[in-house]
Amino acid sequence: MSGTYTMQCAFSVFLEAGRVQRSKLAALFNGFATFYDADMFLSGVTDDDTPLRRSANKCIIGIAPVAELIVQPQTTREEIKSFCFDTENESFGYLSYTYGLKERGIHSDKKNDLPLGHLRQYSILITVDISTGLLECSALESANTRTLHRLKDFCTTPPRLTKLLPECSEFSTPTPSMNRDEYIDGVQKVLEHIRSGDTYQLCLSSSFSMKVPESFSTTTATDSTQTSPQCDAVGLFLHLWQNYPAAYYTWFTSEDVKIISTSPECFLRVEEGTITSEPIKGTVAFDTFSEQLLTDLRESPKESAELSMIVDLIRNDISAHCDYGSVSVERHKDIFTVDNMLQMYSIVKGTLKKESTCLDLLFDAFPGGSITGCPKLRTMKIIEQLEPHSRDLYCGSFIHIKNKTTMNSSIAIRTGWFTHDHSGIQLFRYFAGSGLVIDSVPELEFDETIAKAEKFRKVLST
Amino acid sequence: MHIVLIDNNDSFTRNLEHLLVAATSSKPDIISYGEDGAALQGYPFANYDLIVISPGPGHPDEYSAYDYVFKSGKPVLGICMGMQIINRFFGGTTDRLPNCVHGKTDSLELDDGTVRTVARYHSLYLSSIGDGLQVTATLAGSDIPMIIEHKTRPIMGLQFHPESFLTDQGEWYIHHAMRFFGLS
Repeated sequence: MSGTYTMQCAFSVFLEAGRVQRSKLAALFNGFATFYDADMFLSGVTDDDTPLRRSANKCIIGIAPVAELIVQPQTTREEIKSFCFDTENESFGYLSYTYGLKERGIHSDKKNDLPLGHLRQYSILITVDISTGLLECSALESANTRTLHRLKDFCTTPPRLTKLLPECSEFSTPTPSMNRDEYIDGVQKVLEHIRSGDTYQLCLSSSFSMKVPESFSTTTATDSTQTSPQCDAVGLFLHLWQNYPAAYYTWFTSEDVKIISTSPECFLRVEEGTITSEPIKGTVAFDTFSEQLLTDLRESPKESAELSMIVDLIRNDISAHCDYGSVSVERHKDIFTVDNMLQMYSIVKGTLKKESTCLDLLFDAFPGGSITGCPKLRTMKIIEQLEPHSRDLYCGSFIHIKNKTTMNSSIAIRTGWFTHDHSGIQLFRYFAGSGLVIDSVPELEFDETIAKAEKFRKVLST
Repeated sequence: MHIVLIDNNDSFTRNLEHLLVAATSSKPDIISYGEDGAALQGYPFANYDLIVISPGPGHPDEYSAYDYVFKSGKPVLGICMGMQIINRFFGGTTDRLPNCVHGKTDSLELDDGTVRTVARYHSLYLSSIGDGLQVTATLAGSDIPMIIEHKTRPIMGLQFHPESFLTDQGEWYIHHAMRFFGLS
């Protein structure tokens, strides 16, 4: 099979000296998705965007898939490892929360829009470093040379700036899977479970559905009705990327479902065997930033406890594949801002055991502790009972696997997708949740959930 | 030193494993309690020097398959749920703790008057102490049992979490237990 050859550098372009304007990049990425059907893993957080937090600033774009693996209920871990490690190709895609349920033996009859997981390898990979402006394109020998030439022209003469999300009819008001009263009732039930010792912390989520207006296109096929600007799904994705920077944006198509992930959260990053996880817990929404907000968040006993519990959980979850003595906690209770919210986080580090691969680590730690709660198994069983919806891909992870000791993955929160209901009406579905602990005030937890869902709502609906 | 760690389907078991390795330089075998503790029946506990019972969710009444473990006569160290399981075996009771605490630190007061900082994750507490057991440390300023020891057998329970990153010098508690068991 052609996909086994090593990638070669096809061309590189300096888009601009120094940092490139975000709008120019958005126009370029829009073209990759529209004309080349690309999947895109965009960081897009620079030091300027989030002074409180260092983060990766590489964007990776995959074009012309050469192999794919759709994870089915019967797909084994070995088959996934074989897909990722048998060739030198890098793999991109996701594993859903529902896959995590299955792996932990928790039965669910709920309907999912998406497969349990979907991974792809590409014949063309483009990386863009947004702080230096360097774009590099590498390709397999089997890659189509005409496509590569067209791509080079496209990157050398980037498209004009267009409005990514022109005025279009609005999406309907979101319908939640749990309304305010139901969510608050759910929180009360969780608090009762906490008092009984079944769980110490549980993340309870709600799903939201909006009807997509007919003028909104969710296809990226090049039917090029270029004359009149059209609202489309990738335009929405890049509008969000441009205006609401976060570290783990992903645009991915699985079967006919277009997925938009705007996550700020790293799940597991492994770089040549060095494991890093950055669990986020503790959220404060604000209108005007002040230093006092940072102090208040850091000194809040409730928010500190939420984060500490998850730090202990992540330590546990990576420890199965870490050298003894290598697991440590750094920058406990550090804070960054995203979407007018302060988010507190910590860094957990460890060294991958020689006999383990990054996928062994991922499988055993999956799904991420910050979106289940603790202890994980019983907490996930309670979540399955209390939430009327399937989380599906939400709270799963997008992953990029380079080789056995190097990968990156997000927690797929602040994530939504375009799908259809049973009568064929097109919907945009997205989700939000909050971590519940014994000190939680039900009404405030509902408000936190709404704050996290706000990014999608305010862009699409009034 | 051969240690077996019984995992009550908990999410801190691997932290405990790493702590045991740091404190004793021996790698424990881990067995899972599973749904009903079936794996414990007939398990060769006689081959081990120390049995450690992990934390876990729920109430100790849910973990009724431990008799075989205690009948082995081997030293037993129970953490959190593990301590509640020990207490249950000896006839003590466990109830809801008013103002339960998770993921926070508190001070522990030992019999000799020393005070140490430990991580607490517990919804329940020992409301009465089982036969032959005694409390050797309480939560500072209260009667809530934090360490229990058997008066004649090598059995110790810790209500707090020495394996948490929030506990100062977690290894100290493993050494403390080993001294009590006569293993160090």
